[in-house]
Amino acid sequence: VSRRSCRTSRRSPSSCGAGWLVKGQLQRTAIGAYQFRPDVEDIIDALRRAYATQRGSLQAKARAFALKYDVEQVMSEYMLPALEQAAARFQVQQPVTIEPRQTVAA
Amino acid sequence: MRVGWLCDQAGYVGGAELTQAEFRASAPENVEIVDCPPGNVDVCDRYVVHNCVQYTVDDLEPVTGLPTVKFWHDVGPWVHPDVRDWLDRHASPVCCSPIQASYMGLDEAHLIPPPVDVERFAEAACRVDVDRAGVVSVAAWHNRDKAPHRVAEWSVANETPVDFFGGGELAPPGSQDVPYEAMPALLARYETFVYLPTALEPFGRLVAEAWAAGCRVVTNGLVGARYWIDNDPAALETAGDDFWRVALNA
Repeated sequence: VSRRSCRTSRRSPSSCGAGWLVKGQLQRTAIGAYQFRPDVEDIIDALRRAYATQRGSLQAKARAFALKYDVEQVMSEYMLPALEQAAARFQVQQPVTIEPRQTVAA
Repeated sequence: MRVGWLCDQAGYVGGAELTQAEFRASAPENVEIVDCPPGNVDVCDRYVVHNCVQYTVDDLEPVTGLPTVKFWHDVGPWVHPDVRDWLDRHASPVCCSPIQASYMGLDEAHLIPPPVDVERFAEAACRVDVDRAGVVSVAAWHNRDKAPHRVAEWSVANETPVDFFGGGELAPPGSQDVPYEAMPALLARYETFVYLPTALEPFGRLVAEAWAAGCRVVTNGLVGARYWIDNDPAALETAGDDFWRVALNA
């Protein structure tokens, strides 16, 4: 498959608090989800741009963005609700018994 | 009144086909059912849409603007998105159970179960001249979500053998296909029926039929028939009339 014909993408700006977006390809995984395979040349290009940039102004921005993924916040806002959902899906599959209806001879 | 009848050409008889046949059989006298296969939708006064993965939006064009009911036999995983969009805009939805309606986001849908001939299964139970015994599991084992492995796990956990019936490429070894006509007598021989799917079963006809045949039923919260058994079993017998009441007033 030529690179030109591959589906290309950039990571969503929502996942980039400070820095540079790179190109890449979405790659389907064995569990039916997608992973992003970044383009190595584009990473090198982004690193060069980072090296040539005054990075001071980006540091505070990057930290503020990273705090959204603070472990306590992720645990309470995402992990525990996800586990509750998983438990509910498991629970709904548990066997229940419906007692037989009374059948009466016609 | 001419009622256009849209349904896929399935080539086999599954739950949806049985349900359609029951609805057809219970049509009021003043209704003429007009078959409208994919690519050949005739002009009618109103329409009923069943499974419709073989239809295109162009096929549905003559129906647009006329009273239409869509009976959701499943959760529509294979319906083309454009057709689903058309159905959402132009057809009054009918679901088999509350869990199906909730799953599909069709909270305003009418709720009508597939008709079940409860009396026929009850009579079979009365005709059994031996003590009922044993555990049975019956399904068309065509997809993994029917989960015969969950029944096998239940069997091991309860130290109780289970007799499997039903065909399909995922049928457990030894599972025998059973003609539908023989189902009442088969179910009536057993004390317990087990069916534990791992994905939503909008209705689960055999669960309702096993219950009608007097079986103790072991199932789970993914089976829509439970709602009707627990809350409104009479609706299983009035479903044909209830369906046409909705279809003729859409």
